[in-house]
Amino acid sequence: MMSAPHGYHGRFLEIDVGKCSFAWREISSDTLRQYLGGVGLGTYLLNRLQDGCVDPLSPESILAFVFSPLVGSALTTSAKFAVVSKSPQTNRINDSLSSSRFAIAGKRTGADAIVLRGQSDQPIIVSIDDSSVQFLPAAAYWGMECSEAERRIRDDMPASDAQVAVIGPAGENLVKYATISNDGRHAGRGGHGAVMGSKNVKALVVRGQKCVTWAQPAQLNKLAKELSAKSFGPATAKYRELGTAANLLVFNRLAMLPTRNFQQGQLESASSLAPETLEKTLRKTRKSCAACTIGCEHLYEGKQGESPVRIEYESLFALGANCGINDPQVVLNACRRCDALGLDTISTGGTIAFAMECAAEGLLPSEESLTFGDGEGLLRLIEQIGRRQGIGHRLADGSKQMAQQLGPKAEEMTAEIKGLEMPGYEPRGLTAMAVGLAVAARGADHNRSGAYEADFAGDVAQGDFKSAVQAVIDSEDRAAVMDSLILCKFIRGVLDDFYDDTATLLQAVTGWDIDRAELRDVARRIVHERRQFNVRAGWTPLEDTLPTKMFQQPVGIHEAIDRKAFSEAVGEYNFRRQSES
Amino acid sequence: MITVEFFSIPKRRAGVNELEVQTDVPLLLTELLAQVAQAIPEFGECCLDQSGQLQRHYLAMLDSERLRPHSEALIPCDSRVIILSADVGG
Repeated sequence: MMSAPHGYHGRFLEIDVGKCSFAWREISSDTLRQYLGGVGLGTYLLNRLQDGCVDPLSPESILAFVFSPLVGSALTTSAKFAVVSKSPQTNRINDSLSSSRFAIAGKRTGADAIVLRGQSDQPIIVSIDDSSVQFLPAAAYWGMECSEAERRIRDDMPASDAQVAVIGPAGENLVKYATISNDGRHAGRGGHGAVMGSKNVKALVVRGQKCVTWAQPAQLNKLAKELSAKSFGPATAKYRELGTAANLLVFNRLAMLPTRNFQQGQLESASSLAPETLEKTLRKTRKSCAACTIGCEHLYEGKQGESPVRIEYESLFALGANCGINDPQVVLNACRRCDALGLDTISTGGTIAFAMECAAEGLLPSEESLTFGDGEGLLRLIEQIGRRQGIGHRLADGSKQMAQQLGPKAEEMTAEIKGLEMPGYEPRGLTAMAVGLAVAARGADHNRSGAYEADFAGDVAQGDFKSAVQAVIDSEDRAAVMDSLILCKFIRGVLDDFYDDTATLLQAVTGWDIDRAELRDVARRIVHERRQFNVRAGWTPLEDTLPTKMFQQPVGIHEAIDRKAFSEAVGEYNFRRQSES
Repeated sequence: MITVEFFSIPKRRAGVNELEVQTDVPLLLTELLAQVAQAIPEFGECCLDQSGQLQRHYLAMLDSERLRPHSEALIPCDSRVIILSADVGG
């Protein structure tokens, strides 16, 4: 076997859960340098191990857990991994990131990636302990909610340091936006949990002793200390003190808090959901992901006896404002139940909000008495979705598929892109973000393109779609590097120069003489690779658009989007991306 | 009068939701921030740099448009300026 670069093992583990077999495969140094890890390496593997037309819930599909060169180092926020597969919700590429000790333990198995394929004929746990792979019966855990399953499986493993990624009832029931839960965190978007459920895999368990080497250990430690020190500063204060939920009042003030299925931009009494209010009335604790010095997790206790629940802006938006709900107890409970069942909060809230608008327009049977603001209805639907019961069976396929069944009027009411429900960024108020959302490879996506930064920085003026194109490309390129290294995006504000700083980190890890120009090339290669998978899966430029209501209805102070100017910008974006390849 | 609204970390540092800055004439952003810092020293210490501009972690907006540091644009009386954390990731 060839020697691996520092920071890597130079191989991945391919497991066929149907045949209960596995094989180690080499990854060349060139490939690692070209795709880094995480999202980049995962996309590389997806393109080479799976045909684009494969049904993501079929045995032929793959589900890749991909680590990165920085995992296991002392660099803050580096304990992350990517999950990559074809999404059952969008039928396009899907990659989700998660942060937990699972990343560290997974890399210690000696693999840079673990790829599952096939389909077991009964529920199983795949357990990897160093280089050995076991296929264990999982019938006793099937049906368990995420945290209980994770705890029980970990307790039942012979080694106490095993880390576990599980699916909940939603994944078992093939809900198309089911998550994979690990350590209380979730690989959330696009339905990786359904892909895992389709393989009858309840859990992936990892542990090991195989450590990688670092090219410049002393330099890496120095850089890690410097990055940690910076991470305590003002650039991350928002995350540390309030969490992502701090966005809520800002967006509400700017009439950019999507409300009632994106029909409005402000929620009455939004302050009741804001972290500034919650921390006055509820007991709050803070947590950090493994190997993180920021500590952005803010957990709030509900009523007596209810477990603390992690609150993020996207969850407050999706299960609160977007459903017209401002009762914090309802929203906290909704978040708790989504976490337990293994449901993506954004798509759950987005799909329910869509159903609420359909009900208001008389497009659903009258016995489905859904109305905006109905907290009990929200909680009932979450249970029904997670278990595919009643109307939940239809909602479990997402708003796009449900709208196709309800007809053209319903299709005009969806708030999704490529089938993925919109995150809480209002395109009518954020011009660059509007383009970024439309062209994103995995659908409505606020993580692979953070183009809203250009809007808030004043780099792109409202309605200036021509300027938006470059901002979107730059934002996507930076995200491709961050998501492949992998570093948390919340650390980006402490970097003085993104490409120089990340190249320096990578040099210390790998010893490569990599510079900013090469990293920019890597970014473009990864973006191109993601687009190529989508092309092979049937993508056409017509998909790169926004929900109809964005072009037809103003929201608050924000005008409806000029379809012609927007379409020209999307065309320009696709032309330029094509020219790069 | 110009009303300054604080959000996110600037609100925590200022300790108030908003501040009314009394003025009969339009102000530059720098002038406005100086008056805010005079009224709320904690805000000035935590959120402004040595030149009296907002640190790069914070930004100011007027009517949904960013007010850039060193901007020569005058902020009209009776307007409302929003100061927030620059990073709106979530």
